[in-house]
Amino acid sequence: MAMNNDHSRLGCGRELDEFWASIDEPPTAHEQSCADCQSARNSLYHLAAVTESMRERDKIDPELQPGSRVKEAIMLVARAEIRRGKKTPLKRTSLGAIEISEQALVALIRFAASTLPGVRARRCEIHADNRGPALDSPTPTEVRIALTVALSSTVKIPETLALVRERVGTVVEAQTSIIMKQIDIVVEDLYDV
Amino acid sequence: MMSDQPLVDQVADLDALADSLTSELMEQPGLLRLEPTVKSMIRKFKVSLVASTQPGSRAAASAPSTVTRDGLVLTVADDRVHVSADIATDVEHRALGLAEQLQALIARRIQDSGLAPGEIDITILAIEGQ
Repeated sequence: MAMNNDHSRLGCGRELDEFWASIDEPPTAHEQSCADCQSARNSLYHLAAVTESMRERDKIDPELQPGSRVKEAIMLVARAEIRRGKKTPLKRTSLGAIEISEQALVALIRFAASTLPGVRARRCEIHADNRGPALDSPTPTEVRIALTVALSSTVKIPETLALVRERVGTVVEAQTSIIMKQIDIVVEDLYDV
Repeated sequence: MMSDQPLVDQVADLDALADSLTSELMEQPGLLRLEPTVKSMIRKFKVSLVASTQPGSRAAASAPSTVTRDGLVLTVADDRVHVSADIATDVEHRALGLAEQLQALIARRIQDSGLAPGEIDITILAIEGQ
């Protein structure tokens, strides 16, 4: 393939980058009659085939496989990332976006509920509008949650659940500005003190 | 202007900036950790792998336009430094307030380095009691 090295041009004057960009398209009338273009096309096809073959070989080359410590480190982070769940947008400032992971929000809700005597928070599901607030919007994110709890057999259930709603709403809003639009609570168990 | 700087200087700036941001962020009360993510880890491996196996290649030269540390990804695009930070906070501190403080701190430090701040995104990955 005749080329001017300074400008990566083919002998016929076409730029190699421009030629490469249209390599998947059928040859134009010029390319069908131009020896430089035909030679370039064949060379680039050959280069692509060689590259593909090297890539396939690298995939199974034992010397290029990650070590067990590297794999372990990646898997550790990957597992933690999966546990973190979806992200809920909190705010968009002039500098950028602020989000919170579902795992962090669930931990905060369970922590808030469990600060009340006689309450043990268990599972928590979060339903959030993931569009999030607009830039510098004073309107906070709203979420709905479904919380499962176990209560001490000594507490009065209706009053305790009212306190749980109040405590969860207060703590979550103080930490994140999120407003609890709806808090469904299921008392799953009663335990003896 | 960043675009006027040679690439080598720009890369050095970004690496130094990532190091100083990491240490300065970790001094902020209420910030427990910068959390590594798969994205930041893979990017770190990719950059070091390309640099060690293909020194001088176009890929090696362009890779450092993104610099990663645990929980921190700095990317230069459109002459601005974009930052993504993944954090774990102490429940004794207001998480959203802390995230906003960190955004402002990061923007200031980028400007102090003579670069222009771009998008600074913060993700709160954990809120924990100490």
